[in-house]
Amino acid sequence: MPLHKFNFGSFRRYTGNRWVIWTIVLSLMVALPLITIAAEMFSRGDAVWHHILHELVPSYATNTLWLLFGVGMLTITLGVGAAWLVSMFQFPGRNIFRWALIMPIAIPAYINGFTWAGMLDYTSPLYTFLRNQFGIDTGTYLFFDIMSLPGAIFILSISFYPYVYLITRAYFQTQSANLFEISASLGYGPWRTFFRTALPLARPAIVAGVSLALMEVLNDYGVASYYGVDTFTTGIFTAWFAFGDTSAALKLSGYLMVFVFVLIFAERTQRGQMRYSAQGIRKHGLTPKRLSGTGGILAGIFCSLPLLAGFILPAIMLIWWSTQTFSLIVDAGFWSLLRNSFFLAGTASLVVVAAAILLAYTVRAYSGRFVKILARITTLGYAIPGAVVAVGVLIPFLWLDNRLIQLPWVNTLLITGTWLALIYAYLVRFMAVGYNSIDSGMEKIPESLDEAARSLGMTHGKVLRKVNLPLLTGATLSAFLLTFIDVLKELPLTLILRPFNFDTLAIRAFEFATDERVAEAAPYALVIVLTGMVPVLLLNKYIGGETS
Amino acid sequence: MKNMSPNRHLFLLAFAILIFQGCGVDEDVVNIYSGRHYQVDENLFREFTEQTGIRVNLVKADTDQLLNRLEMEGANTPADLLITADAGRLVTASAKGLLQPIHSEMVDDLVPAEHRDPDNRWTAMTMRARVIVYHKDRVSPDDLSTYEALADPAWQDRVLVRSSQNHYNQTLMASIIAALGREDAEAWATGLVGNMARSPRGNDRDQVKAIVAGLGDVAIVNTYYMGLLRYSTNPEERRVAEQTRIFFPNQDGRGTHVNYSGIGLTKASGNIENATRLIEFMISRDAQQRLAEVNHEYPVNKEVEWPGLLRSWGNFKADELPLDQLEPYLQDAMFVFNSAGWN
Repeated sequence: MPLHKFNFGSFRRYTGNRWVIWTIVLSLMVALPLITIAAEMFSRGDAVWHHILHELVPSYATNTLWLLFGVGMLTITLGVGAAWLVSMFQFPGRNIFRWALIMPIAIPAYINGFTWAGMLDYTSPLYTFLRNQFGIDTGTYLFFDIMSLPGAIFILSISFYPYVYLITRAYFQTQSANLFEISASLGYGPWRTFFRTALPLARPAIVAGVSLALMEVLNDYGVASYYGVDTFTTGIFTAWFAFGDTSAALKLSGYLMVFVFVLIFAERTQRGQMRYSAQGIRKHGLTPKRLSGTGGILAGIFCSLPLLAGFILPAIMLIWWSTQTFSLIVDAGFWSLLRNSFFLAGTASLVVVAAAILLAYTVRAYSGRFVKILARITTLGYAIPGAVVAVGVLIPFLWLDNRLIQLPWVNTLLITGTWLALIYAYLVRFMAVGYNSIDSGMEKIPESLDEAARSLGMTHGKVLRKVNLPLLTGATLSAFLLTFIDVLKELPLTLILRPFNFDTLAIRAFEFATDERVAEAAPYALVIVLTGMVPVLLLNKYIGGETS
Repeated sequence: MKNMSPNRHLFLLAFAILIFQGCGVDEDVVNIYSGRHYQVDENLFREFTEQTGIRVNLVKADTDQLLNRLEMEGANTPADLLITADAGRLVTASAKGLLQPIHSEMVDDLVPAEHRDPDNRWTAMTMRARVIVYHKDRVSPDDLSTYEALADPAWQDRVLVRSSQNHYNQTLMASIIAALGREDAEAWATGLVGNMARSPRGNDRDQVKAIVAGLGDVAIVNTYYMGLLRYSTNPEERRVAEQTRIFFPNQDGRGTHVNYSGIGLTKASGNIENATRLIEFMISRDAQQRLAEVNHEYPVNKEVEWPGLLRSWGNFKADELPLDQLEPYLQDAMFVFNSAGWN
């Protein structure tokens, strides 16, 4: 079929095409729980709903906007800045920074929150030292009260900037050096090249990274609630748990998804018809320029700040706590925790990546509006709290289960409470992580390649396998590993949907942390971090782009 | 299509696994949804299995999530028992019709009636008092009397308490509404918010640390967390515990607010006998002693003596209002928090 026929975007064109039908079926499956949640928006609100809407939401939403703004600015500054420095320049410590800057992603944000609070509270090693050795009155805060809105912005930024760093760096490094060389030959200095060439060109990558970071901010409950910052998500939980009003909670979540959806589309529309794929695949990679003297030192300092705040200091604190409580870990069925965590993370990541590739390719090959919108809807599960996603998953599952149980040979709920339900829930939850990575990877592949392959008579399956996938190795791996780390850290879904007697590392850490036993949680948190480091290092190796 | 057949195989395999799980052989089990996340609970469950041969299947999650799941699963839930760390949630579960009466002479004998649901749909397992903690030098216990008095201007900028998102605060507020009525409770909450040394943040332990750090002088805290601080692995935290004292408020009136961890028998339970045996096991002398010693919680078995730490805090009069009567006030509590600006 000639290619131009697909450019109309009417649903009718798709019917009869198996490829598209499978994609639509898959997307609907992922979207179903989210649509179930959003459908609640159309139900009538009761007294609790109105109370929450008028008394709480205005101030809660304001806090959330501040968080989004603060974390957005900070993650872009840290993430893009560091990505640009390590891609373009050679400076002291660069080879370490390149991979080490990803590390904070291995620490769950709420653990970072607890740890930083523990580093700056009355009984922290630092304050204890100052008090006992120098008699300094550490009563009031020496530095600043981290349990506050600025504190929450800080914690969330150092936890999530790696998304921006990772995706932007992958972009810079697979970008043709020509562009930046041309910019230089036009007499632009490095600053101007950065602001006038690199930044605008990297837009899809930056947007992909920042939107992941900001969706994480929206779904965060752990950091915000511990730091006493009331966010929109706090409102969801107040409605649900404190008022026992599930409907109001789902409604609020629905509005959250609409908000994110509108933002994503606004950005896409504003981006318009611009194409970001380079004409022709890169001829040669970047050769980093040497920064010496002050420039090199400044670059080193810039890169070490997020690394210190997001990884090194929290890790030292976790190790210090672990030395006090490490004996606990030995008898606690540690290996089964590790095995469960790996099994879930591995399986879920495979499923997410496969689904993301299928979806992203279909969107690319058939630029119809219906599939595009559907694809975006499937990624919204990342923006709402995991506990709410769990409800969205439970509703259709229980509906089905309650019918299956009437069959004579079924005597229990078949799907709910199995790990298959859990994997499905992860797919709903983490589609954004897979999709954003794959999609921004595909943006870089010139569509002319696909067109050429199609005109040579290749089927879509073949174009995907022979043309796109080989060029997507980096994006695929980063999608896989990012999802892997996310599942490793995931809590609320795992908590409520897991089978009987099924524990993971994140759950153990969480159980101690919510019981206000952070020191006891530390050994498990440390193992999550160590486990997370493996994919992080792999991630660095494969998407580096450089072979140095 | 050549791609179809592996898909179909996978699908069949998945389906077969599900069916296999669904038709599992019936064995002696008891299925628990628990909002308590303590190692001591799990150790006790393991001993129960060793003694009785009944396997304990456990899902631990956030109590509210479990309640929600229990409600959604309805008549088909696999859960036999619901364990929570907050009486308010048991009362809610009971009001939603998710529980049924426990028939056990042992429970009737050993757990005083005021610590059980009137219809025995749940029983308390352990207790924690929500007390006032004060700095041993800066505050004299003579200055303290009731929860209500913390709203007096004398305590301006001296009171520490965590967020209203917390279950223990919600149940405490419900008990205050029950005692004072909604209007007076609101006036109290407004006064208390005005006296707060900082807007609510952190957990119970953080409030106690903030006293010692000099941020405030008194805090509303659960006794359980004072036990944790007292026996912390961090010497500085033990020092924090040493510099603070526990005061049981409202001793001349209705008594100190006490919250329960408790067990309810689900209405849909398919293993009532096993479930009842587990409840009896948790109420038994040995288990109660362990919970009191390891977890610093007050035992509900009236024959069990308090361990040293609890005795050192002294005897006290607990609020006599049965907690099942708080049900109508739980939602009001949130309205009161919000209108008083207690975030």
